[in-house]
Amino acid sequence: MLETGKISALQIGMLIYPVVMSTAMLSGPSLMAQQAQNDLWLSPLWASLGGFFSVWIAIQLNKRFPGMSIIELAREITGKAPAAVLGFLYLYVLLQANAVIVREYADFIAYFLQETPLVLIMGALILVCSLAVKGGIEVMGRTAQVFFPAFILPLLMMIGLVFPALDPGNLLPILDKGLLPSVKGAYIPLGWFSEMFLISYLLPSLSDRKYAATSAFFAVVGAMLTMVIVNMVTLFLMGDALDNVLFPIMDTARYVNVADFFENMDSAVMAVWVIGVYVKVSMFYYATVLGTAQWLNLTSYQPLILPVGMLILLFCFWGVPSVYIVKEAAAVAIPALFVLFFCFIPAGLLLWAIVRGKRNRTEEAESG
Amino acid sequence: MKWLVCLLCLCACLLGGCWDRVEINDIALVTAAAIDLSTPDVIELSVQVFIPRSVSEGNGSQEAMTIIRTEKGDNIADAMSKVQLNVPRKVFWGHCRVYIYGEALARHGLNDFVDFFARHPEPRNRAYVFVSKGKARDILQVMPPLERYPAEVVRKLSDMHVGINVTLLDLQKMFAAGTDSIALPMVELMKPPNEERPKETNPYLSGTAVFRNGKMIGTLSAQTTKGLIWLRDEAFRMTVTGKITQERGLVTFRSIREKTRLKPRIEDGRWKMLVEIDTVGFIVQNGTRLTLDTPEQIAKTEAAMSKEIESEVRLALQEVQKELQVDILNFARQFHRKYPKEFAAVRENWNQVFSEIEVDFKVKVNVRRTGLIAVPAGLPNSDVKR
Repeated sequence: MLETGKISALQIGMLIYPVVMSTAMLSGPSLMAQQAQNDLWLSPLWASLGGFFSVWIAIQLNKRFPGMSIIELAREITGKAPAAVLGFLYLYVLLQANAVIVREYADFIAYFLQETPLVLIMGALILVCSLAVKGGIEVMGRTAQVFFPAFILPLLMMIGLVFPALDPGNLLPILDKGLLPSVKGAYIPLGWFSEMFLISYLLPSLSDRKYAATSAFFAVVGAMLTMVIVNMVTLFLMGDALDNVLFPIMDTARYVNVADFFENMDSAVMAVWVIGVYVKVSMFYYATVLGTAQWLNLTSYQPLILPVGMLILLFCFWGVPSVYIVKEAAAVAIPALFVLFFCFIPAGLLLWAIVRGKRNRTEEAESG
Repeated sequence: MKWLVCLLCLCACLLGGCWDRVEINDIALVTAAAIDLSTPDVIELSVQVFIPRSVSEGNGSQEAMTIIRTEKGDNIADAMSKVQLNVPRKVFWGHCRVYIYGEALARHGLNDFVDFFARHPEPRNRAYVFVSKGKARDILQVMPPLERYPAEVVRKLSDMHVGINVTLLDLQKMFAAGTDSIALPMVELMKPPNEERPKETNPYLSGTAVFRNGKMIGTLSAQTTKGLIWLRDEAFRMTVTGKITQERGLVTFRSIREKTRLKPRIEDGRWKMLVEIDTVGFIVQNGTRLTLDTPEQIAKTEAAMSKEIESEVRLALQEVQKELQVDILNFARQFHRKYPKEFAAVRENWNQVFSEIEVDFKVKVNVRRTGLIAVPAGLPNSDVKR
């Protein structure tokens, strides 16, 4: 096996929770509000179904083929040639997705660091993430665990401090135009939730396998609840103006004012955002690097780290010409792509494996 | 080891964020901004910039702690770029807590003058927005005796809820709601007590400016605004003076808790609004002969205070609903929440529907305490009605 490190089920949960939440923290509420208006708090509920589904598929595949990631098990199920094509597509999607994530992050930071070149903002992030990937899955798991409170606490603090300014009445009228708007609003977060399929790359390194499902379940539920709460808080604060702002959570943090001296909490939210993006980018980075090594049958993934990092940086410019294209792609193409690659194709593979009765017996005997 | 040192040095290069570093003595803190209309196409932006040196040298001299720079331009951003030309430091909006629109500009229409502040990353959504009587720039120019600069005076008055409070965020919400109705607090300069020193005065909140379609169409006096803030559930430490039936003299009540609930109803096609006001407070002055320490007398007092609040609120309602016919009371939001379908049907001509809504009141006053004396002071004991 390429990855010899072991991580706990808890660490898996803490790794995949920010994968969903870090993107949702940025403009999630206003993206959902544009479709769902004041029913936006329902959208994460629908979207999380995608999360449950993709995580369930990942776990089922892992049960049949322990120790294998999607790249390897595709080879077991479909044979060499189709798996090579499929593997390439996966790696390409991961690379492109990672570039979009890094670019979104950099464009957000660039609103405030207007003169700093984008390439430096992105390069700094990719460099840090490459060190994490170089350290292997154990380092990633531990940093995620260390950073997890730092990701959650400022958010809770912000909600607590902005509480007096909230007007829960903004929730009404519930389901004014029926369920449809909230389902439409679930489309974009559906893409984020399917990203949780990345757990497939982590499961082979899990030390306490029996808690895998529990941990993944709590990560999905946690992300869903956080999103519901965050959507509600921003709606309660901003009401009709919510879909006009680009970064509602940051605006909420800026609204905090306690006794005229405790204010400008937006820096805390930016810190949260950076931590979340670090975990998310590391996850995608790691999946790309490990997947490439498996795809090419290498004996180690270490030599791939820097080249892949370079490619991510290049894709940030090649694959993403401008913010507006990211925005358009994120609204239509990216969710569809993610659902296809992280829900439907894995589900197809699982179905195929069940029909053909394939499973990896040797590995199972070893681990069992 | 050598490799690690090199890497650390490389990382250190990234930490500074050198391109965007800002030194505190390179920025000019804007404390207030005033926007006036010069001619129909030209606006005049005045920013009040804090002079940091004035704090360190603070010896109580009468020198101004701020400077004001005014420039004309096609829009705010254009005027802003001209202001920057004669301020040697980078203008920073993060500490600007007061935005004042001149009356002429407000009457011309506010729509074009919100975007800059909402779009710019520095201005805070919590900053207060006002409309000035006369030119907004004049408000910035006075030197208030008690505070460091006039913006601080209006901000502190707003924090005490003297009038209605509208923040930049509220203003954006009002525009986004699409009901064409906006209310902003008015500020006005107090007449200088000493005419030889006309600058030694301060601004105060003189009422409410009412907008329809983004254009200011009328004002409410400070007295009417009192009723308005009850209706908008912004009431805070209200003082109410009234007469108890069949008694001579006046009683004054001061509230410590205030809550207003709007309960919309549609009965047989008639739109009705029930305004429920609950308030708790003290008696602060008693000019009657009553001791106000029996349940019956307190009940009478509470009834008298309720009546007084109701008449204050009715006064505001009359002006807002019947004369101005602009829904600055958020009735539309209440109906939208409870009767979404019925509201959707009348959304287009809401102000018409609004002016015909029947409003009922249910005011509940709860007198908690009556102060430190048991009988009215200034009366011989024999006159007191127990």
